[in-house]
Amino acid sequence: MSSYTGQLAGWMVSVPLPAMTVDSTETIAALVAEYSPALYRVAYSVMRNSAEAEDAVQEAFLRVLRHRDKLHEIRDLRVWLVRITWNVVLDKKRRSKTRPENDDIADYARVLPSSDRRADDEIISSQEHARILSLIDRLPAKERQALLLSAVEELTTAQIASVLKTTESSVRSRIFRARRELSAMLEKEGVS
Amino acid sequence: MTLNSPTPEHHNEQIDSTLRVLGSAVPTAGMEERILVRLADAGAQATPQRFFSFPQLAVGVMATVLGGAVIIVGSVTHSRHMLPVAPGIHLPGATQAGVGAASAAHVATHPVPALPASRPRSVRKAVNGRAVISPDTRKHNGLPVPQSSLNAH
Repeated sequence: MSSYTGQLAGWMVSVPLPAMTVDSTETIAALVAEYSPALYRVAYSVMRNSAEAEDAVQEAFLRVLRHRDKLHEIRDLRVWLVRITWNVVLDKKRRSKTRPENDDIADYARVLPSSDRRADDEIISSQEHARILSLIDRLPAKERQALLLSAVEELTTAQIASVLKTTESSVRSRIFRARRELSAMLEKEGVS
Repeated sequence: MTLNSPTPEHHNEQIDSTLRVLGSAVPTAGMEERILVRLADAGAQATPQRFFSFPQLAVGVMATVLGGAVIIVGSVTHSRHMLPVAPGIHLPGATQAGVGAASAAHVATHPVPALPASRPRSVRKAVNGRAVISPDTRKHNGLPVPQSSLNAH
């Protein structure tokens, strides 16, 4: 256990609440260790900015901390955490109202190690990635959200459906429609 | 890669590639520690709020109890001040201060039936629903005053 976890345990024990035990501290620390990378990717798919995505993940875990007494009632922690993070990023996006000016997806695509990129990715420039992302932002909300969540490899269709509070078949059809519309927009705009 | 007429397959590859890049984002090093530090800071700030939340709760409970007590006491006091009024008899009661004349007491010249049961409960303090007239009440001789049931016992 890191020193930060020990620090976390310190204040949790001092607060006179029955739910505030060392166990809950360790549980939250374990959740951070296990799920924060996936939650970061969920947040990044919407925020497209590293700092803002990390801030969203921190905000999500703050909400987890507030509802730590419900942790034992949660059946699927991954879906629960993704849903919290998803709500956080949607709130942030709604508040910002504008496209992120500090969108660093292009930079990320540029600095990604070549070993992590497939051969066909190499031929697509970062500008094209940014262009396609801007087209994704123009998709209807339901289709866009399903498509963005499908990009997170850790999430199954069933989990995406649970996060979006819909059925698996609905998620599949949304993703299908999103890809079809995106392809049509690419065709129309002549992105090659 | 063709520049003139990209195929739908090529578009799909572009979409897949973009989604892969999006879904393979890696947080900067030390994110877990930063999250834990922020959680610890939030917990440290939350502790004083809990300390001050107790007096707020206590004040709220006390205000509620005090309000309830005022309502109950006021209701009981109001009920005690409502004297029973015998139908048809108008006595110089508590509403009149000072010494009144004996003629101020107006006694009915014939028995008056009790009012229906729709009267307020607090007012119906007479035994068996009939008026109880104090024996000390000054009355004119020969007037038919209904006999008090209390006196009969």
